[in-house]
Amino acid sequence: MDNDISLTERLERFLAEAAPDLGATVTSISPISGGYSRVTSVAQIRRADGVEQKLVLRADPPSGHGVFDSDRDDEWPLLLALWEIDAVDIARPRLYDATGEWLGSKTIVMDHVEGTPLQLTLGPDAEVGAARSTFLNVAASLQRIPLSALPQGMHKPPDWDTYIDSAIDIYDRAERELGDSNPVVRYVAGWLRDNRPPPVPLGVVHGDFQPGNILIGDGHPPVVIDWEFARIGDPREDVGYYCGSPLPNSMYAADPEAFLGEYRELTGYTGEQVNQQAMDYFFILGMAELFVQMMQGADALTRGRRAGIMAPFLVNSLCYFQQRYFGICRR
Amino acid sequence: MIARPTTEQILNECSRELIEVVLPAVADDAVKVTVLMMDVVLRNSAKRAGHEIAWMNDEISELARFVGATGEPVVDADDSLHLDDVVERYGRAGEAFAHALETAVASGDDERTSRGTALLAQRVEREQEVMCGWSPVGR
Repeated sequence: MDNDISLTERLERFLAEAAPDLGATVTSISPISGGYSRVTSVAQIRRADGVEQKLVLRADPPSGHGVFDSDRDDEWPLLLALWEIDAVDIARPRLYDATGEWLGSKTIVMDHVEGTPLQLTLGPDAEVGAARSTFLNVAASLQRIPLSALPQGMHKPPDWDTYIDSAIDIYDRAERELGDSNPVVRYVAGWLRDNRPPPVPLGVVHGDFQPGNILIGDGHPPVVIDWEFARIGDPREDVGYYCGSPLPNSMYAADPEAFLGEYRELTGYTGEQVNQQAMDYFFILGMAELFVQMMQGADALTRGRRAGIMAPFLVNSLCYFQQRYFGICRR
Repeated sequence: MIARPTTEQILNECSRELIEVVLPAVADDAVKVTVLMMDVVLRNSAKRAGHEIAWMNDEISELARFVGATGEPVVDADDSLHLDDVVERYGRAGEAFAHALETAVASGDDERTSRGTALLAQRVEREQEVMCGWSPVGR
């Protein structure tokens, strides 16, 4: 790849190679702010037939600039599979630069979706009922995704207990492998082992299921974005992750029992399977991968590797979540 | 060495400069976010610089007392106050404590578990102090 040419020119060359029928000219590219993990841009193109179109470029950050890590090689086939089924709406995946040869790093190119993140509709005076229904309907739709429709390479745990063990082990393993012992994490992992809620069937877990990743717009159903941490697991992880999240104007905190009642109604889960204690449990479990990646970012800095400003900044986040976890375990 | 201004004061002054002088001159939104993150990290670092050696030494003693009941050695007779040495001792004490607390929980020793979790609570409380009022945003 020629590093001296602009992303605009690189995208134009990539489109000419991968989608020659478009005859596309790239008229602009601008970054989309927000998000801690991928570098996302929106490109405006003009096709040979004169149609203007927007594309989203979702790229890996340059080495040494990220904390959260995931693999576009896993995300791309998942997006293709999700696009083929009706259960959930996503932005249409179009092209993939799997090596970074064209766009500088592994990059997924997808359709741009006009819409507002659901989180932005949750102002302090907002009526949360409608947003809550939207959010929980999307959660329930994820639960309906047939596991047989997912990519062959996606890890399928043999059963619920094995999966929960492996999810708890994310904390245990990280704590063992990093430079410093962390007694809080050890205690929390022990609590997770001793306090399992009743099981539910395994399903798709988005992995960062928060209203910022659901786009609401006219003329289309809610669109779920940012699938990089998706996996097969316990679907309650996604909703628990949100219930415990510090996002403002929480639809859960506004009325926990109404929230959980609607969730049970939409999914068929029982009161033993979905309640406030279970959501606390799945908040901790659903955070495992992200929490551990923050630990690893801090550890990288300790070992003298470049991790960017994000790594020391997120030490605050580690402190915050440790406090939350510990508070849950002591109840 | 020139002890005053203290490290905490120096870093807090850098933080102020960053927010009052550098930030207003930045046009790029992504760089603005980076500057704001740097400010948070500077304030975290200032708070830590003022207290971390004392906090860790206090906690090492308390962890050692907790672990001592099981007869496991925790802290060497090394009283260096260089930060790296204190951090090293703190790490060893934390590992021994984590193991002792796991044993207490597994054996159903409620009294000992309660004492152990009280020590964890103190650790978590100090971590909140280092956060300097930071609250999570963006994710």
